[in-house]
Amino acid sequence: MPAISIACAVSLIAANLIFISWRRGLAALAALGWLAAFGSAFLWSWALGPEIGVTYAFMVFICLAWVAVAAMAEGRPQDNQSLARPYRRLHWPKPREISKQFLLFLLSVPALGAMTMLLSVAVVRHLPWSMPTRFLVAMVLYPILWGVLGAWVCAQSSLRKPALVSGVLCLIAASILFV
Amino acid sequence: MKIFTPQLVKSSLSSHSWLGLMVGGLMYIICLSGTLTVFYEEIERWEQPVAQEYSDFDPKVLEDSFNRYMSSSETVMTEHMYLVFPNDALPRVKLSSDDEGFYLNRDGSIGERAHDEVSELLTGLHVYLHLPVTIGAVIVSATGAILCALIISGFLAHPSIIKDAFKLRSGMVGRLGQVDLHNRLSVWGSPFHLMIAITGAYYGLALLVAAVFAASIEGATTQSLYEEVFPPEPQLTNQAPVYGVARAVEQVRELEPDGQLLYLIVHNAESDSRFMELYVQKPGILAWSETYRFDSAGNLLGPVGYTEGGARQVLYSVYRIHFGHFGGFLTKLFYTVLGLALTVVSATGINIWLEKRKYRDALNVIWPGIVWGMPLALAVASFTQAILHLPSIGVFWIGMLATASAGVFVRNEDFYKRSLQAATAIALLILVSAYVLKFGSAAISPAGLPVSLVLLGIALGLALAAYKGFRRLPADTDRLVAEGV
Repeated sequence: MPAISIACAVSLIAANLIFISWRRGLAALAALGWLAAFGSAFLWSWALGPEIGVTYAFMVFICLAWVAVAAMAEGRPQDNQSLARPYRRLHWPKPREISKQFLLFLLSVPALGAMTMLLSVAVVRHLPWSMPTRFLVAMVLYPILWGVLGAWVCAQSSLRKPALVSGVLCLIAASILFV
Repeated sequence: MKIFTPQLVKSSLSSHSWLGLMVGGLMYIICLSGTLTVFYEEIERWEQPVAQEYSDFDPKVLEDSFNRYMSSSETVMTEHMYLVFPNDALPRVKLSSDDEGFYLNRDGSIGERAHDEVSELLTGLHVYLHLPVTIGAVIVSATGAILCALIISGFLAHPSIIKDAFKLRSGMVGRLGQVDLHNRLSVWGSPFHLMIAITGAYYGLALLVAAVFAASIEGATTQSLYEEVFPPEPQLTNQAPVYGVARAVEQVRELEPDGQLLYLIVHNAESDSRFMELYVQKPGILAWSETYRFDSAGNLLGPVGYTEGGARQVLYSVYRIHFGHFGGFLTKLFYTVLGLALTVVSATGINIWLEKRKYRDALNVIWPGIVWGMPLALAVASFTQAILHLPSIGVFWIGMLATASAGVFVRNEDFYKRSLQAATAIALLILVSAYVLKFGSAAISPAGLPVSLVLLGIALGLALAAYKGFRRLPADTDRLVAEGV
């Protein structure tokens, strides 16, 4: 119990230091706050064991940051202008626009999903690790790769470049895996 | 070097908006149902409050009861049969097959039928959206990967991340208020959200990744590869259908004196290759359990090795990290707050896009119909399931469809939102009243009361929100009428 109290206090100090540094523009205080936040992970680990401790360090810090945000909340304005805009009939996009969006969906979800799956397995396939380790790394890598490439694909103005890059990466991954 | 160039911010914002609009509705449904699923044990307990509750048990009584249950002609045998031990959240013993279950009275006699349909409605919604499991789980997991993309593009689209770190303007209303709420919850919550995204992606995509691995290794199959990761089942023969439960329990208690017994599963229950697995949760680690295998007489075959460190233990920890089932009730509360925040982020993301437009159309009322219709649909489905015992997945989805589309006739999103809040408050009140009428004094037992009180609290909160909202409405409504909308 004392260990948990100390860990709690350090998380609280960390969130406070970061909040105060933000309000007063003191970078050194912010660095101290982040250091305390990092240190709190060790204290939480001491109190609850490393696995649950690190999780708690994150959860408590996040919630404390939100408390600080809530403390800064402004009041509700008297008048909400959002209803002042005119209401009009639902506007359907043109078929050309729909097909462009559909192609983007196909590229960023099923195609990229399949490509990044091949890629994440290809990255670990020949590493000298046990199968559970390679499987674990591939499973962690997969959504991250999909996420990074998905964000990049959707940020492009044209689909040509992402389609080309995805195709090349797919070929590289397939050749590592199956050739 | 300037990281956030205007071009990067613009393209990231465009990417973030596109991805958010594509999965916003789905993400909202998955996040809200996931947040509620954290309490699936408490909900299951609430669904059947008349079952006898106790935390300590005599293994010999359990063994006799389990063998009686397994040999009874009334028991419909399935491939797996279960004996669930009591824990803090669900202090009951349950005997069950893959299809149905009964709680066990303290004296060893078979007690009340187990009902967990509301709990399953929520978990089914979260894990596979009530679609065929293989398809639904892949869609949900893909949403996890897209959440990763949203987190990355969200950060890149946010050049004033430090300047705005604690700002929450305009009382969380209007475009500015929604932007601030969305950004503050998502930026600070991003470590948790990233963890949820990666662990969420695991469930539906693991088999596909294993299949790719297997295809790339000569002579390997998905099954053989999975058996390298998760040890294969023992191959036994001539196992009698009489189970040495007490012997198995006593051995595990000796091996894991600090462990929490979870449940016992009989595998291949219908054949003579049957064997038992006893799951025991170790304190201080996130792995779901160590699992000990026994033959049917209760002779120890050995541990599976899920808590012996390495990648296997990490893989076996994914479930508890994702669902917050560690560290007791406090962790569940943290997960509720963090899960609700992600739900609000999903809702406000679409709100921002709607607020940004120079006009309003049907989408402005369809979206609150989904956001505020889901709690209403869940309340109605919980009533038809928990009180009337009607299959209620259809009720939920018809409710969602109705609330999403009915707003088109109202044309005022604020009024519609408040109406749905008021309707949900009334539905919850009816649900709790019917629950009290159905279960009588058991409704105020430790099994029934906590969830009912929470439901009443939510009803009160929604009623207050609706009341305040309705009071603010006339000015807006007058203006809308004046503008001929």
